Amino acid sequence: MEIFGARPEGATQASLRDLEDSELFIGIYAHRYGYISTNSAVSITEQEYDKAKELKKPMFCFIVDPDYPWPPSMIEGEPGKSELLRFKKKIDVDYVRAVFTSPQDLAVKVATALGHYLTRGLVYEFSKVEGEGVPGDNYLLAELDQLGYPKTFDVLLRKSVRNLSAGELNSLRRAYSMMMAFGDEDGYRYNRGYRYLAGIHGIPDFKSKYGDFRVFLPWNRAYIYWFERYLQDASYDSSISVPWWDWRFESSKSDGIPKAFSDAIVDGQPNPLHHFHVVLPDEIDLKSFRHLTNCPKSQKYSTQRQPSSPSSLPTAREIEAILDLTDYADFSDQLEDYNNRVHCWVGGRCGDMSYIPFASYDPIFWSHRAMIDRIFWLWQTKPGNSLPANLSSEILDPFKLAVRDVLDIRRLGYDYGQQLSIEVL
Amino acid sequence: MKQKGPKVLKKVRRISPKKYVSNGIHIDITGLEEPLHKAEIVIQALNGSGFSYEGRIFLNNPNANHETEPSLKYGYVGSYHILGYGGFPSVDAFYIKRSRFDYRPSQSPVIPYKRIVVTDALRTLGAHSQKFTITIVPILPSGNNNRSIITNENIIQFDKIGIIIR
Repeated sequence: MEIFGARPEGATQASLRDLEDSELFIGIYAHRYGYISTNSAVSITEQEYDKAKELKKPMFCFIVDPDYPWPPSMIEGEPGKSELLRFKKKIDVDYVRAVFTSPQDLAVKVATALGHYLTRGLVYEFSKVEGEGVPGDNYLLAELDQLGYPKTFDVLLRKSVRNLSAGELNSLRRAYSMMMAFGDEDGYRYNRGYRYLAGIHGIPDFKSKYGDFRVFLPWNRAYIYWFERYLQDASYDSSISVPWWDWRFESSKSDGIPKAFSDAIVDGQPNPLHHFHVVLPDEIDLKSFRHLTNCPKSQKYSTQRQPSSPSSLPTAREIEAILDLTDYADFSDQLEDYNNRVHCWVGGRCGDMSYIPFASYDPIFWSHRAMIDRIFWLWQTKPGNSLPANLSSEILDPFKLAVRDVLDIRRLGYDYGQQLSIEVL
Repeated sequence: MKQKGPKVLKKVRRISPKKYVSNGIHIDITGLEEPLHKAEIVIQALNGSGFSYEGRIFLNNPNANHETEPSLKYGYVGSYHILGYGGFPSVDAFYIKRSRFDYRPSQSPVIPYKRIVVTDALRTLGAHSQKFTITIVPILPSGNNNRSIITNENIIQFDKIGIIIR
């Protein structure tokens, strides 16, 4: 109501009139029931809710966690307190609502819910059945459940690396550092460390699916998802997500590689997003590689990049063009080609990203591939686009997932979205 | 005292990635029973075991090279990008000795195919010609002027190439 300005009508009428023109309704409820006008039995807040329900607006309700600390001066006493309790119970019966804590937590949840609504054109329905909202019909999730991952309705929001706050970036760096520290002694045998995860794509496992349009994109999705879950595990932080690097936009055209990845030192410490110290297994022979490429690769080295001119990165127009393709094979082939192009752009002649055996050791790999996954998802959300049904049971080795398990990223518990700024009143 | 012989000049290492030029392919798009819906250049079984590279494709310009402007004016119709393995004919070749208990399946560096949609280009060029040559010019990630790479072999290796009209 603070933005209503002066109007020749009462606050209740103005509020309800604006509601009629709204596309959707977002209700955020903390500890105040709100103003009750003299000619009404319920507050304006509750009237708005009732009106939105009557108008069948898509409704998204967010209720503050009762255990989250709140300023006592912002907590309403009786009789509003009892009315609020009744109102919240009413919401609980009518709709599935999300519980929020901090402003950041609320922002993520609102953005995620809106992201689903706007991309799918459907009202996002939180499932009321415990355990749904995360895929439970595959081995991986069963394993993760056993490891104590909470069953939650929360959806993790992957963001652009350029939109991460300083705090988020620090958390991400901390997570990478912790994951990279895993397995130093055990090498590739420690299956929760960075080296093991990177080794799935190239040396030593070589599981990547280049040139296979049937599974290249689903496999990539499973890979980033898997990596993200282990990144969370390594850092004991379930809010960590792999940010995407959008190389299409003007900022990339001027800066090239984002500073988050290009700064070698941050706050006096080595930046884990800048490089990784690779220790290859002894049984790997690099003679042929060195002979052909004349690149100084050895058993122990730090990843490096030799980026080309930023102007040669793919453009937004090029990506828009492939998003218009309706045939999945066409789309997958072309997106894979852009994937390869950016790999070579980052790696240059000798950089790790330019060659399959070493690419995934470069920390920027994950954010580049999250971008590829994001474009895949954007394509999927276009009306009429889908993968051929006969691909659904293709296995995405070694992730214990099939293509059908990864088609809906919301079932995997994440989504892509720009950061949404919300002022909590 | 042993006299020094003439200084032997070090061989200059030059990169000379060979381009591919096809024989003439006969296509008469003006004589099709139905209007041209889609045209693709399809390259089958590309070898990805070596360099990563961009393959720039030109129609009816066998003289194209890495300096040729990539525009339809010069016959450029598109490109593909190969992410290579860096010199290994098979993934197993990475291993000095693979454990007899390592049951992981071997991965092939052969890319089944690349398709480059050339519908509009073929419509334009097909109005004037019924014979087409396909030229593929390899461009390395660092550009083609880097002298520290030796390439005595063809970067571009594949089994078949053709144009499919739909």
